[in-house]
Amino acid sequence: MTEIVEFPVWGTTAVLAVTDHPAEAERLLRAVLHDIELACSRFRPDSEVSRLHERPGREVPVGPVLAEALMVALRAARLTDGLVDPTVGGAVRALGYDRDFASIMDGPVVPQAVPGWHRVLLDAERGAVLLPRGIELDLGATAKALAADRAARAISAMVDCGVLVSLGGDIAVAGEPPAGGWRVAVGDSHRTAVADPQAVVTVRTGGLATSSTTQRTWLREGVPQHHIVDPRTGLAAEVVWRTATVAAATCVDANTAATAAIVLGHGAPDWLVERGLPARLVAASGEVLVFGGWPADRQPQAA
Amino acid sequence: MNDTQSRVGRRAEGHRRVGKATAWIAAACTVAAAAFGVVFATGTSDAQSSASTSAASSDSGDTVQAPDSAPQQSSGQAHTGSGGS
Repeated sequence: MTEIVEFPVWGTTAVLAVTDHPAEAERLLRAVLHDIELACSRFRPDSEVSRLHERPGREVPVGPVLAEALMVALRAARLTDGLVDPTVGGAVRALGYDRDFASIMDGPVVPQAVPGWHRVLLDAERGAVLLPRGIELDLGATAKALAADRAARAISAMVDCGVLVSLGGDIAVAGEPPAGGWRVAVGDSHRTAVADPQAVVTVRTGGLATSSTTQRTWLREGVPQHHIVDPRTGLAAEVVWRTATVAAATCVDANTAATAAIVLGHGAPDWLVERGLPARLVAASGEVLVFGGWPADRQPQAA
Repeated sequence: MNDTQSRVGRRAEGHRRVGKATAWIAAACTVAAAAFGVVFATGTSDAQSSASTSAASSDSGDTVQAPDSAPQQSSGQAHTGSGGS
């Protein structure tokens, strides 16, 4: 018997599926989300990362959660040669997307150079960070995936059950899955994927994440924009792929690779194959490509 | 100027700005790292080298890690969905 709990979080949806003990698992999930939000949210003035932004150019002590989130973000940047860069905060705002769509600005796009992840100085052992002036961190992508990983591990270990945690479609699983595994529907939007799946796959371990250029989109002077910034240009990544879905050993790695694939554009297939990552890319034209052992889409049944 | 030309122009401007910033960033990193006592500016060592507080997500190796097994094709009602958010 699988229990599923859903609730809104961070402008998206948290989904918790467990094979047992749903109440205890939900309590643990909410605790993990609370910890990550207090450490990483740039929309909360009392978060650790907000306090970091208020003290540029100085060494600032940070707690273990923010230290880990920064380590994860910097590792993602290093492993992607900066394609996934936590210093895109200013560039995202320059594109017009800050807190929500109600506050999106119009007018000409003036690209803002991304300062670069190398400039973030972190001493995780001492719990200290030095953020040079002019850097605005956006840990959104990797922190969400990290939260899913942390929650799934904690629930599996402490409640002793099989668990799937999805935060806006970034999925981590841990423990013994239900018979047949965890079934995940893949689509343009995580909100509609279950009702209108493009594909359904089963996962048993690790993580799975989708990045998309079709969600959180807006116009500036008639030019379509989306929320995934190419750090090389400071602009929204060129739309070669509608979605990139990747399976990996953790949700963080899946999210990192999916975001890198969107930014890489035409170079994504080679990049994914070189790393042996199972992936499904949907081109802007609708063509579907699969790699690394990802199963081919089931053909629609003839009427 | 059509939309494509305009976009190409903005992209070129982005590249120009990034290139201009690079030299300054390299110098600034060297100074800041020396002052901070930790050198991450080369990109060859980063937070992972001092991952004492890290859990599995942050110490999972020097490459993006593939899963133990690839997803399998399935059918029927899904437990959840993955897509853009």
